[in-house]
Amino acid sequence: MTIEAGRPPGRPVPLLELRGISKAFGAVQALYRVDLEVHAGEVLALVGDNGAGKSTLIKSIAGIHAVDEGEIRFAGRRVAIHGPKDAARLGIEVVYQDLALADNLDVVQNMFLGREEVTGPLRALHETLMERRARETLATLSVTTIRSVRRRVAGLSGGQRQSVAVAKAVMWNSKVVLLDEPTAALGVAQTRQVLDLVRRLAEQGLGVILISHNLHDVFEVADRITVLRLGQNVAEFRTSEATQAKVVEAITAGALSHVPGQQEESFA
Amino acid sequence: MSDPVMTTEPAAASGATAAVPTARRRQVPETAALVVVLIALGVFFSITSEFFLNYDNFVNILTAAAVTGIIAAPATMLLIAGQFDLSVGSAAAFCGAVVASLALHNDIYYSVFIAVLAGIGIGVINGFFVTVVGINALITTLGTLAVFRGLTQVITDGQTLGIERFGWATERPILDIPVPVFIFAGIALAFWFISRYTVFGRSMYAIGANPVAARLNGIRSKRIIFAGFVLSGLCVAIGGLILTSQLGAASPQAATGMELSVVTAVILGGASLAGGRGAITGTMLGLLIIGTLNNGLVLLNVSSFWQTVAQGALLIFAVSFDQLRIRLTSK
Ligand SMILES: Nc1ncnc2c1ncn2[C@@H]1O[C@H](COP(=O)(O)OP(=O)(O)O)[C@@H](O)[C@H]1O
Ligand SMILES: [Mg+2]
Repeated sequence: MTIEAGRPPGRPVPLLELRGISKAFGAVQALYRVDLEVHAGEVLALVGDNGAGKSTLIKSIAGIHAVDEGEIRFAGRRVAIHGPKDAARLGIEVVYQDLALADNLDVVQNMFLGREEVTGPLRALHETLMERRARETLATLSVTTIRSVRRRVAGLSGGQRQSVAVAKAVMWNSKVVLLDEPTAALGVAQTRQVLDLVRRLAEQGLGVILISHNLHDVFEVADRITVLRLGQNVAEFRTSEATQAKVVEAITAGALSHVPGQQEESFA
Repeated sequence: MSDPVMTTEPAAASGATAAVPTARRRQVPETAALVVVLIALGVFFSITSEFFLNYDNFVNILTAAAVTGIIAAPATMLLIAGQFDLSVGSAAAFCGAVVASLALHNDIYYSVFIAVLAGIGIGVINGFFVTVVGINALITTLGTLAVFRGLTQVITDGQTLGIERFGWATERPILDIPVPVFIFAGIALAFWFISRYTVFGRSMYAIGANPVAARLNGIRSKRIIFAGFVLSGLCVAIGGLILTSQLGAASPQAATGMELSVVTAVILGGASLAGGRGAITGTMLGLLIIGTLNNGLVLLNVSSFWQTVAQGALLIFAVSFDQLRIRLTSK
């Protein structure tokens, strides 16, 4: 059950497609010729051990890291993404592992950080509009735990912060949403909410890439599972045909196509 | 942590109506504390000196605070973004020396124009080394502090350089208030608006609080910090021109220690050395507290040496308070 090189005829063009992405940080080969595709209306789970390169892959898609080689295709077109704004223009939104929130700002200010609405000749911040849209987004996501959108995020719980980060990503008519370990810091009930939300996004026709350590969660919401190990694709499964044992085996011992000198089979 | 029963309805939405930025709720107690200190000082000096409580003396306090305030406004923005500009005093003196030396042989408007460009140029230099070369702002501006104090002495040959027909800053157009106070008010208002109601200001808060998050959100931190230094340079030039006009001359020692007064006012006003916090209103209150203290001590015939002591003590007090706050909130 290894990766297929070509696309079977008759399958639609993926919304987002990565081909041969490599990225090194000095001597560390974080990604090596990684392929990945996600279709509209689909949840793709990206799993792998700590340090497998999952976050690096997400940041490469978002244009935070410039990749060393490989190409990114969006709706079949090759695209160059040089930063978060380029990604956003294509409709790619990311919920980062560390959430990327500014603690000194409130919920609305964080949801619009980097793309505030302005009004008038002085281009003043349009607080009323932003506040209303933030509320609407939280409401459509059925986020009921955030009582005041004017609270600083420093004072929010882990689950509330996570909700803000997710809401921030889906507010922009996005087409693809990438979530990096969105449930890692959450309790049972809050995890439930995020998973429901992930499903709902896919039902609305978005492509979703979900990174998670929790295979139970992955099996619950994902349509497909892709496994990274030491920066390489080692396996891909349809969730309906996979078992947790097989996925675990791929995570810990999946066959590498290439063993770079610097990273032998050691697990740091 | 979170209530079991919650609603999306903004029932308790902190009464946040349209244009009320939010950090408000937490800032209120601090601003209130500053106002209380200011009033206490006012009461104390009103009792101890018969010259304190009158209109002319209030105008004096504002006039004395004007140049520091003009420079403290952009300094507040910079510190919110986690940056310092220690070169302000030297840069102001340098701009003064430029205008006075050029005015010897040139048109005054031309001389003023070049002096303003010089201030902006110093901002560009600071911004370049901090954002492009990547040197810490403290070190960069400590360097430019020395460089431009030295260059000021080179230009003036160590002498005070007189300037003719340049007394505009001593004029009192309305209500017997001198021009610099109006400039100060205008600049304070402009920076108050920028910090609270513009994307630029909002970005500075984000950069200061979480530079990584700012980057992940597509904020161009380097450009914004660069612009912050340039704005500082511009305001420093204005300050330098005012000082030169008030004195009728450019002194090689002008504005020595200005960085200390500016940092004291900004930190006293609630900005944090760690970045991400601060407000123009707080800085202005800090400035008024320092101004009132200095003014009162003069009225009580306390030697100006003691004013320096008082100011240094105030800075240490303000920073200690900030450290305490950092320790408490990082729990
Ligand atoms: N900015 C960076 N600089 C240097 N090395 C990095 C950087 N980001 C990640 N790495 C390295 O790349 C590898 C993959 O990391 P990461 O993508 O965070 O893994 P994962 O998210 O799967 O746990 C690790 O060896 C990590 O140390
Ligand atoms: Mg990670």
